[in-house]
Amino acid sequence: MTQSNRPHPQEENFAPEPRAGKHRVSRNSGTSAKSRILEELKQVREIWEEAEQKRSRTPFLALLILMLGLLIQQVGQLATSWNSNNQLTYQISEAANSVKVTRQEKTQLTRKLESLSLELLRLESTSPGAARLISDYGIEKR
Amino acid sequence: MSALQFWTLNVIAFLLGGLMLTNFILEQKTNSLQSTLVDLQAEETETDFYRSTVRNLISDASREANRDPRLKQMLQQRGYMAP
Repeated sequence: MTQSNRPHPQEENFAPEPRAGKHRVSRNSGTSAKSRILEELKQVREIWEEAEQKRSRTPFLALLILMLGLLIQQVGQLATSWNSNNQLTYQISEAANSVKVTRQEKTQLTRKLESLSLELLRLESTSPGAARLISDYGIEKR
Repeated sequence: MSALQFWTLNVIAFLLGGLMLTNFILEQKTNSLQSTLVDLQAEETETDFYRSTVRNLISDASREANRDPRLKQMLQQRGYMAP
C-alpha cells in the first residue's frame, strides 16, 4: 500500500464502524472464494484423473492389441492345420484303399518272382539264357 | 489397471492358451498323418518295383527263350509265354 492510499490518522480514528451488513458481505465473498477454489481444485483433480486414466489405458491397449494379434494369428494357423489335416485324412483313406489291392498284388508278384527264380536256378547249368538272366538280375540261391 | 481391463486380458490370454494347445495337438496329428501317408506311399512304390521287375524278367526271359529251347519250354509250361 502506498503512502497516498493510506488514510489519515484522524480519518482512521473517525472512520465509521463497519456495519453488520458489510460483515455479512465480506463473509459471503470469502465463502464464494473458497467455493471457487474448491471448484478449481475439483477441476484440477478431474483433469489429473483423466490424464491418469489415459496413462493407465495406454499399456493396456498395447497389450490388448498384441494379444488380439496373436489370437488372430493362432486362429489362422488353426484353420490351416485343420484344412491340411482334412486333406491328409482324405489322402490316407484313398491310399489305404489302394494299398489293400496293392498288398494282394505284391504277394502274387513275390510268389511269381520266387517261382521264376527257382525255375531259372534249376535251369542254370543246362540253359545259357537262364544263367545270363540269373547273373543280370542277381538271383541267388536261398 | 481396472478390473475390467484385467479380466479382458485374462479371458484373451485363456483363449490364446487354448488355441496354442489345440494348434500343438493338431500339428502332432498332422505329423503322424504325414508319416502314415509316407509309409503307404512307400508300400505302393515297393509294389511298383516288384511289378516292373517281374515284367522285365519275363520280357528278358522271352527274348532269351528265342535262342534257348529249354528256357522257352519252361516259360511255356509256366504260362509266361504263348506256345
